Parts: sequence; C-alpha cells; structure tokens
Amino acid sequence: MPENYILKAEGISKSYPGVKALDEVSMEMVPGRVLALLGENGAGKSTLIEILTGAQKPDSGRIYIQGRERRFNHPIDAKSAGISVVYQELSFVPELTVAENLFITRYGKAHSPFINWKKTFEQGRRAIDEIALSIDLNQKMRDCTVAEKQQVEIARAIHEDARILILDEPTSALNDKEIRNLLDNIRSLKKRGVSVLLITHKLEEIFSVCDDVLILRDGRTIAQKTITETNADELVSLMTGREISDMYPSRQREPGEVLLSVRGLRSSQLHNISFTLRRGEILGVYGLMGSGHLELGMTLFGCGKKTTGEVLLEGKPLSMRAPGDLVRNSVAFLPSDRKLEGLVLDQTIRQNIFTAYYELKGSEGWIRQKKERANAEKWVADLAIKTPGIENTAASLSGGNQQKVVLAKWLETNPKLIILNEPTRGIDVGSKTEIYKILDRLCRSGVSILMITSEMPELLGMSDRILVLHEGGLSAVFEGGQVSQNDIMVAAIGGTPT
Amino acid sequence: MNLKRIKSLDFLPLVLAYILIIVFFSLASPYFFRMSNFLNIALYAANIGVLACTMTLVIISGNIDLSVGAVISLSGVVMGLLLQKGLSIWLAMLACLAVGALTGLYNGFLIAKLKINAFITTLAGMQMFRGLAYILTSGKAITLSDPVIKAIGRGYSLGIPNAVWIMLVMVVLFSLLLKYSAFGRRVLVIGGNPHVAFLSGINVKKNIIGIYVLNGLVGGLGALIFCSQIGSAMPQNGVGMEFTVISAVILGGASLSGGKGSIVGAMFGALLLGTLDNGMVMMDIQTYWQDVIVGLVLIFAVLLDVVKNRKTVFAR
Repeated sequence: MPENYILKAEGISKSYPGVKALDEVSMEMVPGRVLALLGENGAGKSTLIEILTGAQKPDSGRIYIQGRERRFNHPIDAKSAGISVVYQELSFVPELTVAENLFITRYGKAHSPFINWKKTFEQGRRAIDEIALSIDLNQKMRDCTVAEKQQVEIARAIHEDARILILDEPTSALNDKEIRNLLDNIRSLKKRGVSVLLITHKLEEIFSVCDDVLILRDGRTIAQKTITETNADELVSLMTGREISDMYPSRQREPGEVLLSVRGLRSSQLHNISFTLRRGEILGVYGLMGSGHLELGMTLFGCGKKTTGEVLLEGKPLSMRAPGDLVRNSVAFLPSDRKLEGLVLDQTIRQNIFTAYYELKGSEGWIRQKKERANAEKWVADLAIKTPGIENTAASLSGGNQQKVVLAKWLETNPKLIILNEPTRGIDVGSKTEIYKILDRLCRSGVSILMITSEMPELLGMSDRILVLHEGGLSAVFEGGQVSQNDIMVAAIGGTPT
Repeated sequence: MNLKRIKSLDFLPLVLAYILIIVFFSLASPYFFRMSNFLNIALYAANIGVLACTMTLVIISGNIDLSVGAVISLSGVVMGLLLQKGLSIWLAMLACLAVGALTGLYNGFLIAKLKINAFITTLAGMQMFRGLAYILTSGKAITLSDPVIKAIGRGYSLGIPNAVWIMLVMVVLFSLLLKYSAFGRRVLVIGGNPHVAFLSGINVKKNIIGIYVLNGLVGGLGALIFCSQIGSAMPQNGVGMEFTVISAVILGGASLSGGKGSIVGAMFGALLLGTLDNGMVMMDIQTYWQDVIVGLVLIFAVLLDVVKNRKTVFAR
C-alpha cells in the first residue's frame, strides 16, 4: 500500500505560542490525482503547506515521500524531494523576461558561469509546450497578467521536475476564462502523473477538477474523501462544523428615498452610465473583465479618470477629485485587496479602525486614546472579530477577520453609502455568511450599498437590484430575486435578455 | 506604566546599550562620570536631538532627507548676511527659520507632487543648498557676536544649557504630535502603506509636503543652535550632520521602510552618539577609530532590530 502514495504525512502537529495550529494531521497524495485542501481561514491550511514545503518544521509527525521518510529543514530540501508550490503572491523579477524568470533558480546549477541563451530558450519552450501554455518567452514579466505569471510559475515547477505541485488559491485573482484555462492546465498535469494539492474556497472548482478532498478544521483532519463520495452540502458542513441552511439573509428590506443618483457618467472607460441607489438598498454590479465595473467603483470613490456627467448625493453634486472628498461626504470604499489597499498590516487593529475617521469634516484634530480603545473594542465585539485584543496587528488576523476590520474602519466614519469591491474574495464560507449578515444589518439601518462582485451566488443572493455592465456601458438592470444567472451572463457579454 | 508596556518599547535595547556604555566609560576614564561632563554631552547632542524630531517624522512617512546639513549651512549664512546688512536680530532669526521652511517646501513639492524619489531629491538639495551658501558668502565665514544668538546655543538657564531645554521642549512637542494628533496618525498610516492612506481619504501629497516643511523649519532652528555654538555662520556648517541625525533616528528604533519610529528613542539615539564621541575622546581613541566604532554601533543596533522582527514573524 505505501508504494502507491507519493506523499504520506502522519500525525503532523505544530504549535505557536497560544495556538495549536495543527493537531495530528494526516494526509495522503497519489500520483496523477488532484487533492483539494479545504478549510475555513485559520483551519491550519497555511501551516500545513509551510510544513510540506520546508518553510516550517513540525513539532512532531512524519512525512514520507514515496515510502521514504524525509525531514525538511529548508525549502530547498522540499524542492529536491519534488515538492513545488505556487503561492498567491507570485515571486518574480519584473524587469526580466519570462525565459529569464523561468530559469532563475537553475542558473546556479549550471556547469559554466555563462548562460547559454539558445539552450535556455529551447528548454523554456519545451517546459511551456509540455503543459500547453501560450506565453511569449521574450515578454517582460511585468507585462504579464496574473494568469500568465501563474503559468510561468507552474512551468518553472514542471521544469524543475516537481512531482507534487501545491497551488495556493490560484483562481482567486483570475477571470472566468483564465480559470477554465488553469483548470485545463491542472488536468494536463494530472495526465503527466503529477500530484496536485489545490487550496481553494470555490466548491465548483473542487467538483470539476479534484479527485479527493482533505478537510481541515481547527488544525485537525476532519476527513479525507474521494470526491465522488461527497457533495457540496456535506463539504460545507464538514468544513464549518455546522449546517449552513441560509447563506444569505432574507431580502425583505424596504429601501427608502433616493440617496445617490448618477446621470450620464462618462470617462475614457465608462460610457453614459445612469442609475439611482436608494437608502437601505443593495445594488449589485456585475461585469466581465474590462467591462468597466471595477472602474465604476473607483470613479465613484475619486480614483478614476476624469469624468463628465452628474453624480448627486442627497440631491447635491458630489465632488470626486480624490477619495478624501468622498470620505468627507460619508462615502466609504472597501477595496478588493484588503492586504494591499485596505489595511496597514503591521499596525494595530485599533489604529487601522481609526485610519479614515480623522478625515471626516467634524472629526477632532486630536486623538483621544480612550475613545479609540472603547470604539475599537465595540467593533471587535459587534462584528465578532476574532482576536486576543485590539492592540494586535492586522497581520495577525485571518482573511475574514481582516475584512471585518476594514468594514469597521469605514463604519467608524458612519457612512451613508458603502462601495464594496469583491467584499468576500478569498474568505471562507463561515466568515462570508457573517459578512452578509453585517451588510444586511447595515442596510436595514438605512445605509446604501453598491456591491461590485464577480461571484455570481453572492450577486444573486444579496442584491436588491443588479446592474450589468458591458464594454463600459450599462447593459441591463435586473430586479434581484427574479433573475437567473443565465440572464446576467447574457447581458454581461452584450446580448439582450429574452 | 507596567512592565509589559516597557518591554514593548522599540528603543528599549538602545536604553540598555546606553547604560552599558556609560558604565564602561565611567570605569575607563576618571573624568567621565561627572555632572559637568554629562552637561557637555547633552550640549553636544542637543542639536542632533532637535533635528532628529522631524527627521523621525520624515523617516516614519517612508521618506528620507539628506539635505539637513546643507539647510543648516544655507539658513545660517542667510541670517549672517542679513545681520551684516543691519537687519534686527529677531527678523534675521525669523529669516533663518523661513529659509529652512522654504527648502523643505521645495523638497516636499518635488517628492510629493513631481514624484521624484526622496533620496535623489534631497541628495540634489544637499548639493544645491550648500552651493548657494558658498555663492552667497564667496566661501567666507561671518562672525556672529549678537548676545541673543550667543544665548541660544551657549547660554544656560537653571543650570542647564538652553540648547538642551530647546531639545527637551521639541521632543515633548513632537512626541505629543505623533501620538495624539490626527496629523501624527496620518504620518504613521502614510508610512505604513501610502496606498491605504490615499484610499482612506488622507491627502498624502499635502501631508508629505507638510512633513518636509516642518523638517526644513526645524533645520532652520538647528542652524540657529549650530551658528551660536561655533560663533559664526559659514558655508561649511553642518557638513555630514544629516548622517548623524539619521543614525540617531535609526538607533531610536525607526524603520527606514516607514510606518514605525519613536521621537524619544531618537533623542536617546542622539545622546548615545554624543556619549560615544565624548567617551572616546576621553579615552584618547584615534579619530579614525572613532568613526569605525560609530559605524559598528549603528550596524549592531539595526541588526538587533532585524533579529527582533524576525522572531516576531516566525512566532506567528
């Protein structure tokens, strides 16, 4: 039996001061099969990957590669055992070409101090052909899209004879077409006998490409199952430890009068967009890559191109020259990348909650520590942010809790309108439902929400109305609750709904 | 303040190192551990300490200012020339501060509005300001004998040098500003992540310019103290001083990548550098060796910080 496994881990435990990150975790990987690693944020997935790739040493437990026990003291040890990892944050030298980046780890092993570029290119071409990628080797890395960078990283791993490839949430920053492409790449890796460990929050991906699934919860192995033996509901309840019957709050809200009205908004990326948003309403915005849906959010928050047209908030023209103008007018903006755009990661939760507050018109120019502490404590309790205390850094939190801190930062400014950009990207199912509940509560208290999202279930589940954009223009407006996924897709690609 | 909070102070290792150095010099030289000598050290460190207040803000905001020494030269020279022309001492001193603030405005405008790298901008400023000072004076020194100027850098009040009083007031003022003002919070957020600051509604450009203007203004104040202490305004004033100031700030626990730093820490940094200097002179250590030792202390301090941070990263 052991011969069949390419990787087998037994009883892996790892503790950090105050936290047991992993508790007797076991797992198995088989050549040519894709294993999904599933778990809420904080379940121990990252720690497990760090141990498998030699970035961390386990407190106890054994790792066998092809039946032989291995100890990884350094990432190089794991690499030489055939384990490669593609992280969410991709590591490249942006000014070098694809070919140069592809071989960056191999220069050192060359027999000669000089680089044979002809040979390098031949090898690069072969590595790329092998998994049917289509990238220009002469392209500079900084000109590549995220999807292309990922492909380069995968090609690099294959070139280095990786037999086990770990993909850490590879689809979180890709569009639909790129996701399909990536899943095809994974299938061709399977055919080559590579074992893939796929970390993802998206259940549809698991069912389309994975063979087995490993579920972690609170640092423990909950189950390792063959995908055909299970279904989505079971996976969710195994992952969260509870049945989730209603992911989205009921939509019986009663929007009030018009808060925001946009008439004929134009810029180099937006064409004549008009819509209204009422108090206590969630207006969903959907569009494919390049449709202008992201630009709409940025423009309304004062980070877009020059515009013409009329934007009124409570009947008064809204200045949109810089985010500061909007903050002073009680508009908030939740960016899609909370780590780079939402939080100062190495500052405290309290400080992060109070980064936007002092930009308000009526706010004091002086900081009152007592008030800061009291309000921060209040938000931590209100939004159920899981942390030992408000003086911990934002970096110490899991993704879902980080997102709640970004929310708290804006709620502290007491906004009338919140623009959300991908509010639950990369967040586990449990935290998602909590965030949905918070948003619902806000709406009921009269806050208006403009929600830009590429997640269809969220769009359909949360929106009172839905705007669909296509090529920078408004393609359709739907009432929430009465529209199908299909109608939205048709509108998004520019067709007319039937 | 409980023990936990004391432990979390970034400049704690510095204070401990400082105590060690004092103990060492006290054992090594019989003249070191005397009140008069400590006042000497404080007098020497005062100017660095004053300049370090706003340099800490600059560094926390993720920027740098290499032109401080040259600002001291230029604003001092302008003051000296105006005094020669018969301007009243108060107006001349005001002009000294104004020239400092103007250089800051110039630096800040280039960095924030024109997006020129802070290192390059202030490196160029360092050349230009001193160059101007040489042009204005044709390289000659201007003797300053006005009693008001004399009092700033060489006078004593309540038995303590006026310069030290100025430093203490500035340190308290800027510590409060950093901790309790919205401006201080903005500086921290901008240094932590300028993009987050912008998306939180902070006017990043305006604040960066404000920080540089403050730093220039304090540079003007530094010029007053410096000219007073040496008794003349000349273009050579303040050569290399920017490095001592930056060293003090870094010793005080600030990170060159921004988002973190302490003004009280920077003051201790200035005192430590002053003490080292003083003690090494007393021990008759060769000047060249003194430079080597100061360099080593700086590297050691930064190394401590790196090791400390590495620990916290892994402890997660």
